[in-house]
Amino acid sequence: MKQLVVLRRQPWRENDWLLDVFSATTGRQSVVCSSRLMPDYYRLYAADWRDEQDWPRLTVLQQTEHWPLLNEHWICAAYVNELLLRFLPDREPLPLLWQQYQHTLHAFAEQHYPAPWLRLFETVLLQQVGYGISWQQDALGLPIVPNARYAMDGQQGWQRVQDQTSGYLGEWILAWAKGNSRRPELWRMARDVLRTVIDARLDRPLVSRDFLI
Amino acid sequence: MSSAREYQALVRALDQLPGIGPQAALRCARWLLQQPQNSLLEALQAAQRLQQCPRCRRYWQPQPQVEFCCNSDLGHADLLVVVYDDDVEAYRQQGYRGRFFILHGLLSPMQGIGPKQLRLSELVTVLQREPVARIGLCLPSDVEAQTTAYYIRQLIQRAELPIQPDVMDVDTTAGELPWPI
Ligand SMILES: [Zn+2]
Repeated sequence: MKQLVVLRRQPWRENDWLLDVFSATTGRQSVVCSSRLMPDYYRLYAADWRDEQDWPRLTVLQQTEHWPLLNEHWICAAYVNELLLRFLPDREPLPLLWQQYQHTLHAFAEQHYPAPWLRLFETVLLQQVGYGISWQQDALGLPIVPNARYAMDGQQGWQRVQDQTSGYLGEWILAWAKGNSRRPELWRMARDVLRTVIDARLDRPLVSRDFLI
Repeated sequence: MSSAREYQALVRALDQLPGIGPQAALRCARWLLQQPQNSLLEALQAAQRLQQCPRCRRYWQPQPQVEFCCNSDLGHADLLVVVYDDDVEAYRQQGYRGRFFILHGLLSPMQGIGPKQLRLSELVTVLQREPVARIGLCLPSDVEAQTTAYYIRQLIQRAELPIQPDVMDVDTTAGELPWPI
């Protein structure tokens, strides 16, 4: 049996659905399932499938965990799912990200304040798909200098800037690298920097960003 | 020799349809190309003639001198928000004579459908232009519907409209009204 969650469901044939699933052992992949067996979002399943003509078909599905969500946590979970759909390569197991997805959904279900969980998820996601951010070095591989200023280039990394009004102070970046989580300005920086890197790697904007009114 | 570019484009276009995989797209392409051309053209022309009514967003074919498809419910104080055009008839059959607003789908970032794609701000415009006494969200019980309901509640709250939507789960109450008239 494989552990999986559903990232996307689309009607396929009269009684079949095409699912994008994220699984512990195979990463992201497409499978077909009958309406009778259809899994729901934000639940953990033990499942099995067999190969068929277009896509493998789910043959067994047992729910093992449910993360009930409310209000803004719906939106945050939708954002996390959209990130996975947009970033995950096909059939590449990503065990760290798989673990982090479960921790994140669990925290949302427990109504935890979502921002730290989102930043952590974004960080792990980018690392796992090869776009990790260094918070200690700039794009040239030089150490971040506390009293210099840096701007994030989504493709290259931190670029030192001369303009004293743009970018972030090196001291902030280093403080974030050390795990300083008590300063609200660092959380804002992390949100904006992660967003810059995420957006730079996507061909079109994330739809779930429009959900935040 | 590979197949004609137009043939490949047809298969690709069909592959984009909901519920169609690469193999099924090939089968559909073969089937379509064996049909008399007129029936295909008629279907496409009918689709092109249809527009959404600017007030309720039902599909209609605009008429000269007629502003909306739904002039008969002008001034009515109830509004039902439904997912698809076909849902309207079910409520009409229950005796409902109030207004409608068709969403034409549910929010699903996973499918690439956000507030912009559904043009949800038009709901606020409609409510500001013609205030209502009651608004009912007639939605299924799945994740996309709950996300949509939450978003619409937020939208109405942020627009400072003095109204709270009543949410109806249409999976358990198909065709029933949120209010005992
Ligand atoms: Zn109308």
